[in-house]
Amino acid sequence: MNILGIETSCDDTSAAVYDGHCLKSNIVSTQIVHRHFGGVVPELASRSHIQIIVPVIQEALNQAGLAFSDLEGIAVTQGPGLAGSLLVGLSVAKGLSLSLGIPVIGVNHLEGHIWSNMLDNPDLAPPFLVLIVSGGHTQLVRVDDWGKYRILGRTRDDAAGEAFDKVGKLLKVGYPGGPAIEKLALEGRPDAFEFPRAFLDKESLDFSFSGLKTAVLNQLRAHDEGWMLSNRKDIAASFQEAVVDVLAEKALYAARQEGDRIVCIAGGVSVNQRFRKRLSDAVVPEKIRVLWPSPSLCTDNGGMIAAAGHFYLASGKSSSLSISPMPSLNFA
Amino acid sequence: MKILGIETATSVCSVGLSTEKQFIGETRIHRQGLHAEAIAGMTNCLLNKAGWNVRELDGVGVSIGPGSFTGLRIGLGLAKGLAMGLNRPVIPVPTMNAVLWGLEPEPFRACVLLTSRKNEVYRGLYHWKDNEWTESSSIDILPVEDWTRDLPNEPAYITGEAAGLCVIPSRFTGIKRISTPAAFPGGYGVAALAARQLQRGEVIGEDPVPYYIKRFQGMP
Repeated sequence: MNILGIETSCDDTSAAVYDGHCLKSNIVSTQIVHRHFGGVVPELASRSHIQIIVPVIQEALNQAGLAFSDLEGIAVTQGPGLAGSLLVGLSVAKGLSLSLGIPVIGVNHLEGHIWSNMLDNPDLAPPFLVLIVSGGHTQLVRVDDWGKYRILGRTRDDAAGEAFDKVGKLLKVGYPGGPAIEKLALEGRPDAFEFPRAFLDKESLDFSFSGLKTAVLNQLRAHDEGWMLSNRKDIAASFQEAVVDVLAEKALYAARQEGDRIVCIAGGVSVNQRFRKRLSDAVVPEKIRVLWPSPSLCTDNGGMIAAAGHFYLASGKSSSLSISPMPSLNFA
Repeated sequence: MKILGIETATSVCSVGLSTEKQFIGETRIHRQGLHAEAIAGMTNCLLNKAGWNVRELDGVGVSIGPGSFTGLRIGLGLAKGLAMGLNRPVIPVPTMNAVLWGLEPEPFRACVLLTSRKNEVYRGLYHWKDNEWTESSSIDILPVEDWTRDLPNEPAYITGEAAGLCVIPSRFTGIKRISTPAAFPGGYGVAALAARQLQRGEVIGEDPVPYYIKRFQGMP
């Protein structure tokens, strides 16, 4: 059953085809226009989506070697995300659904990230734990079964990726901050600065990254720009270490609490090599397996939406033509 | 020739059907914030009631702007999805021409006012030529209270979503204000204009973008 997945929740325009066994294509077009503004500008994101959505979908079909008539369903991100961006994907999906006479399936973006792990590990079976870390989200989710989720913890302020972007701005490395900080950190000392790790209450699986960002800011305020430039490798490494320490420890707490042996990572921050190393090292004594999707499935992509949509359609569930964007859609 | 017209540029959400010769049907609902949720279902329903199979469509007309940015993208997104699945063209129709659709020619001049943001209006000036409304000058963005700037004092229609908000100064004589619902563009006008454009081979570009007029502020 070929499902087209459309994802336009933020600044990536993506389309993919998944047939229940194989991801036949996964086209992602990242909008670079936002770099000039140091962050995603919603109106510009919407403008870019409507401009390139058709060629992106056509390329997804071409690469899959399929025609529109081979599709049996259109899966599309309904939320969470930017309302105007979500609207473009939803409107196009409804048009395709109407013209092809096939159902549209509204998919939760965060659930999509969970499914991205299945695409790289087809044998992955619940129960397992997922840590979603991206520019917009930081959540620990227990997958009791496909379609049955419990949120164990979430960020109380900034998402982890957001903290990378904000610190990236402070260190003047451009947007997005994640890859640039990771690169700087390779040449810096992670113990050069003692930045706070917010573990919150001992039992809590929630996250908080705004204090860390403020600590970096305070450090910079005490000095001039020349000092910042000559120390930023160490600042980047120390900041990154503080983030990945918290992420790894909380994931480990959660796995212990739930008795899980599999921890999956999802979202854009999971491409960070230091994070992967830190978590892999942490789970060794616990005999816990860590799974990561390949980089193209970590960031926002239509493949994960197609996979989630396939699951729902195969279970006989689809959406009506009246589905609307849900910018703060939650699940579980 | 069977054409669908989608109109979501203003606070009216509308869909219409037309051939190159005649009116087939139209649905229009004036309710802010309805568009994203309703337009696809309204399209499906109208096609069914008219007895048209979606696969018979020869093209998908869509109101391309100016108008609400979000509204324009809702309509154009739906049009692109439909057209892609049918392998038929998207036919972008200027929203102001859709407002003027069906208006009797006399007094041969028209001023179309559409709602912009921040208390501004889009103003387009048109004249009747060769049996259709033709743009007299390019579309302006003006403060609502300044809508008559450089407007010739000649008999003319004023129409469009924002026409009701504008005060007509007493020195202007011969102004005919079109009231709702005729002041709003509708799906039928879009479909009829799209049919005409398609017949003439005026399908602008393969994959259109909304006619925003306003460039995004701060762009490099």
